[in-house]
Amino acid sequence: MTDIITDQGNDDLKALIRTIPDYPKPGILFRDISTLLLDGAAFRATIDRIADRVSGRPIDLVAGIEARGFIVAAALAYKLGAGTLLLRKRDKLPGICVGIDYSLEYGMDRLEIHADACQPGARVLLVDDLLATGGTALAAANLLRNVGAKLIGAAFIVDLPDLGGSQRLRADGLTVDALLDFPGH
Amino acid sequence: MARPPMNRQSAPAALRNREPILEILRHALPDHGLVLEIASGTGEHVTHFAAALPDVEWQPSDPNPDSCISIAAWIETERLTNIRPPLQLDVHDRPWPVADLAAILCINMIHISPWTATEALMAEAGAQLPPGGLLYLYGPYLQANVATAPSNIAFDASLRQRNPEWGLRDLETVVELAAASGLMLGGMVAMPANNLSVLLRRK
Repeated sequence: MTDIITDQGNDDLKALIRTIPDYPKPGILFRDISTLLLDGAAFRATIDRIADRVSGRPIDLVAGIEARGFIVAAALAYKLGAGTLLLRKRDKLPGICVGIDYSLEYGMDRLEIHADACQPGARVLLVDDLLATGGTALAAANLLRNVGAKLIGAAFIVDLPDLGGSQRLRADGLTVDALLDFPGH
Repeated sequence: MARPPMNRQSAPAALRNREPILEILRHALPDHGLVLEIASGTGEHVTHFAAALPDVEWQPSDPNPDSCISIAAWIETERLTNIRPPLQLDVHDRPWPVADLAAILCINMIHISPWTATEALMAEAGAQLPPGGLLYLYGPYLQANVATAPSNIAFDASLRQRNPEWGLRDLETVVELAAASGLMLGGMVAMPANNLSVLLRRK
């Protein structure tokens, strides 16, 4: 395991993220957090540092976006003593759901939660592993707002600022935190 | 002329559930605008909400003239200025004589009325609400994958005995009917005594 030291720039964590060229499409550098997750001390430091970023803001629920966002959400919720809310893809949840359709680069997608998962007024932190264009995160934020959630902010391990996601979320009124950023696409 | 207090009717259930309902409305209603309450009954809900949310304007209604007298008496007692006089309105009488609604409340009506009342409610809410406008429903429901509480089974039986057209409604059927009028499910909250808050939003 890596020796994790307090590092404001989080370069210690950044070194553990693997970059896979041309995935899922040619020209895209895929920033793979799975290698960071394999390192126990680094994973713990990742969650602890996100928790530090949001400390002082009372949070009832941490909402994670399927699938890698679940990992961040569950661990962070445990750390914060909050509940975990799963934002799932289309038709994964049984029972009565509320959802939101949103457009991707190619076609449409949909996020859903159980209709009674989030009480109006609940203080919710939105999380995912990585923020790119912000399309999915923005849809998730709107879905949570539709059910009356009070959004405390959005937190990510990785931000790709050149893709404009953090800018879009901030323009939407959200406080955005990310531990790491990578230039380019 | 001051109405004698005897005109004010009181329902124990309304006194029990009005605070939990208000907590939902605080987050779900817009800050301003006109909110129509359908089937206001005694008027204890609308006066409580109007006192707590003074920037919202309230329009109570009920088909029963005695209920309208009770509502007016409660408004006078509470000295509220953000409530309009009660409208004697049966949901079936469409179109409703209202305009510029921001939201509609309907507490404990759809199981104590024929199904045609729910059909009229949805059609008119779809026609009257602006995009994003809230139709708030409160009451007990039957749910396909959720065991019905014994208290609700007994309540359903007693309702059907009083009137075969009454009875607890299936939640999914209500949600489907709402969707046909452009009202999409925007959230559900479990409430005391096995009731549900159902929040529908105009597309």
